[in-house]
Amino acid sequence: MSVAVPSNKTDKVKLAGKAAGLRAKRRFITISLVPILLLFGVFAFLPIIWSLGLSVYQYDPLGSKALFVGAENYLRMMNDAVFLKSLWVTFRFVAITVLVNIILTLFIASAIQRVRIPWLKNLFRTLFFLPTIAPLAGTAIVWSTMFNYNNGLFNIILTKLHMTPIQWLADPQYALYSVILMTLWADIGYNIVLFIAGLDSIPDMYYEAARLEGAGRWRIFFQITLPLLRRTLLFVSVTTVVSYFQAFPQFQIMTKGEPFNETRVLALHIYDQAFSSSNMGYASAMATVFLMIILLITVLQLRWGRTQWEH
Amino acid sequence: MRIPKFMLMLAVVCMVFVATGCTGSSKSGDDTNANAQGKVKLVLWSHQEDQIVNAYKEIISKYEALHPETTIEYQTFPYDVYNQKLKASFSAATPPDVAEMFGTWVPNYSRNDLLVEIPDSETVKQAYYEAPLGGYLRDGKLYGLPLEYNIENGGMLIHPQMLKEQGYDQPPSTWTELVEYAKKLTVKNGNALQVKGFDFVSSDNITFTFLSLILQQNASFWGENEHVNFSTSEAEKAMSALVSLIADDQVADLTTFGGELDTSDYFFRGNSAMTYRGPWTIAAGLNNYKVNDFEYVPVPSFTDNPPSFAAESGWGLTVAKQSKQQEAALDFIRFFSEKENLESWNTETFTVPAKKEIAEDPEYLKNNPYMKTPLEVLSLGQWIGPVADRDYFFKQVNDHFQLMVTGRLSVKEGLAKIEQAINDNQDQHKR
Amino acid sequence: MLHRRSPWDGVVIFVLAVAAGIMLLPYAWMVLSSLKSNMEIISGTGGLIPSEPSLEGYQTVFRDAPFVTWLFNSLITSVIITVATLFTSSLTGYIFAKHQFKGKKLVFILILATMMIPFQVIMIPTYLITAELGLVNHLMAIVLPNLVSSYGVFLAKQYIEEIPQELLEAARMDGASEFGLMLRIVTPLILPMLSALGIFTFMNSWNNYLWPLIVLNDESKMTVPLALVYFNGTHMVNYNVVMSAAVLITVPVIIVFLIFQKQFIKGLTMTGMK
Repeated sequence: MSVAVPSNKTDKVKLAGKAAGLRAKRRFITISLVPILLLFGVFAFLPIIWSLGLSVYQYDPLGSKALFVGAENYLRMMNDAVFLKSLWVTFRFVAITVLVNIILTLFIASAIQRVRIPWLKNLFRTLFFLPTIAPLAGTAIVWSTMFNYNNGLFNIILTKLHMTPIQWLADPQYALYSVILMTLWADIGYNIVLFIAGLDSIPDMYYEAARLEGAGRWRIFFQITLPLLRRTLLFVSVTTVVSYFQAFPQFQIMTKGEPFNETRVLALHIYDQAFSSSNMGYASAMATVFLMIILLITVLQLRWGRTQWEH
Repeated sequence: MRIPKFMLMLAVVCMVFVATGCTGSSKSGDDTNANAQGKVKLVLWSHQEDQIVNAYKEIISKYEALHPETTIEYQTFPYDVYNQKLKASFSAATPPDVAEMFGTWVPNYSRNDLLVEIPDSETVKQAYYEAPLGGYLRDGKLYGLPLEYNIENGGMLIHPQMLKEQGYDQPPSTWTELVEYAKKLTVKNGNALQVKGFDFVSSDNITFTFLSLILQQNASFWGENEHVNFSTSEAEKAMSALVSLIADDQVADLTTFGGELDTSDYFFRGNSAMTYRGPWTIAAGLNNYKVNDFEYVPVPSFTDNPPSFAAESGWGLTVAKQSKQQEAALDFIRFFSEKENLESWNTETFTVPAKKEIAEDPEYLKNNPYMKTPLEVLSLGQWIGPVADRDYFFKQVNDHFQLMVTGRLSVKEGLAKIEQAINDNQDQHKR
Repeated sequence: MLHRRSPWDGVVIFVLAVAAGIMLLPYAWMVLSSLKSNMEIISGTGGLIPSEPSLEGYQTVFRDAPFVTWLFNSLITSVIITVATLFTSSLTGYIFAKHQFKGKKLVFILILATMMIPFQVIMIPTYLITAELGLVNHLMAIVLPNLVSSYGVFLAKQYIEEIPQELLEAARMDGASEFGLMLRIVTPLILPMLSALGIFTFMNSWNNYLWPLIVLNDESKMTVPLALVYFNGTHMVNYNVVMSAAVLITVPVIIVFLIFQKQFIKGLTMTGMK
């Protein structure tokens, strides 16, 4: 790529030292930017283009040649029951998890923020945040054993309560919810911390004014807190949606998409198609659709957020 | 200030690790290259299973002792990711020198010219049974040496004590008896099954049992053009029999399907009286559970015909064409396949020999009394056929089986859907 | 203060305490399971509390698992990635904020666009590229694609833009080189942002699972999350062993977190990174 500095033809008379400075600047830009852009090029731009390109081929990585199939991979998706199912599962997972996450974290964050004893407030925040720092893969393994039918924690508790044990991960009715439960445990800490910060930044005077007017607890929450928290809320919901769309380790480790593909989210399906079934072309086509979906949803969220803003 | 201190610490730590790290990671370079002293380094991959890993290690150290110039780097993978890892490494041109493969996977590789042909195929293959060889053969040439005769059918684990308590001194000898035994042996605890009478609900055995029941009616499950054919009356009869074992007779259930543990784990814990599973599970019972209150007996035929069964080509060793040490790698798998070594491997892993001379060796049976049943049925095994995507094939049967059991699909509908899905997939792989 | 003590406060604290207790339950399960003996687990009769606490699980981990190697691999890759990301981000951020060149806007937008790309989308080509570079089963494969971060560049640019131009000009007058300028003037001014970026870059690479799963094969080259999953594969039945490994891996992470807790929380709220 060509690097240039703003031209200043007009004053050739300027000191030679200035020119040398410009040259040094230009050299600095070139030297620093070239390797960095090279890295971006090789590991970000190139893969994106490649992925788009691959999506119109039938490509088995074991074979030496790729077969051009045009839009066939995309058409195939529309009739692929497993793909459609995984799309549905992904949406369900994201919708439920995001909704529960935001309500729960908002609730917990407001509760923690109310705690007026500093060390206790810190302790609570730490306890809720702790699970987020452990590797998700490790958490998934621990939770798998907790969900075990015969001697897992949850069934031990159910038995103690004289209830019938549940196939947490193998029953199509429960499997997705079990993974959701684990996911929430593992990362509500982030949003709690973000919401606490958001709540802390609301000046006390708003509350005082509302209280003088005799507003109740819930009214204050809905009419003062929530609107003032909109910025944080928008940010939190966008990042949470995007990160849940990409959720992978918990599914790959805990359920592998079973039972009956009830937990086969798109991220897992793409991985399986690419690396187990050797359909790299088809997997790339799905990845492209996946990208479009995420972009579309993010744009919609941001637009919706902005209209809310102006209100 | 706190942050700079933290950054400083980070920086110091970094420097130390960058310094040590460079040497650390560059060392791990070209694994496959022979280095200057004429030493040979071979990379060997296998899937993970306690007994199998230990048995490999023994033969590796034996080989290394005999060939001091060779070192073998042995890497193992959980079964769940092994297939993916193999594909990835071969497609990236970075395969191990010697790869353990499941016979059913091999055609994908041999077709794309990724494996080394075993020299002198014609004579070598005479030494093996047909079913374990099927996957390794391509146009009459051999692309790997099978280690085992993979049998999931033909034998089952039983608890004789549980049978005795119900007044049965002998294992069942006909299918009708089997069903009758199973019903009697089942112990219920409320709605849940405490002891399953006859458990075949594992990801391998549902499919294998179904296929074998078809074969035992003297029918075939392959149609034209590498398509399966499940729309025969025999297929329907076979599937109906299996579905009714769960849905009507309730001698087993779906609760443990898809869990982390194997059906054999539940058997050894006493949660099942008869469990249809391959003999390789015996190792877990003896070594992990330290029990020996069980027997391994033949499963009776579905009909009056002999109890034929479908078998895949099981685990075997292949040499990658990309390997820079083909000669050494071939030498290693030849050494591995020598009667004495392979026999000790088979004995230790409770796998059925693929090599005739080992199966016929009385010494093998003496060391492995549990193997009596599998050895007797070896000749009844038929190669499963040209399955393109093994996991997909089995998953279709298993998923639809569950839908049929829970009544969401009739047997006829279920079979039609299985057939359709598998044939579509077979076509996908043909291009 | 407006908030007077009300009975509500007690209720809130109580509810939070219960919730926090639930949050801690998996940790209790992990520790208690790790103390069960093989026999207790195999008999399948165990309750929550081990009937006879045993260290069998831990012994097996230390015997079978190249534990220190895994920690070392994770540490080395995460540290290199973090340092490099901090460096490349502030350098690129500085150039984008304070320098002009042709196509600057376009390049910046392109870099920002990659922020939105889920890893699953580029996973296949990235794997093929890594293979082409001969880096499969190399720790370098973990490091190389992560030396730059589009989010880091974005953050750095935002923060550096706020540095007054006069400050830089003054330093230039004194004959400082551009590089020295960045190192001595710019970096100290954006230190809080860098420490936040550093913490989360480190955490992300420490916890990364999908990419190592694809490119690493050798047990001795694995990073912690991947190694734990592989280890789980061989000890499915005796899960006390895996739980012991999980405990051993979690403890140092928790200690590090408790030490740098303030920075963590501050960094998170400042950058909103995940």
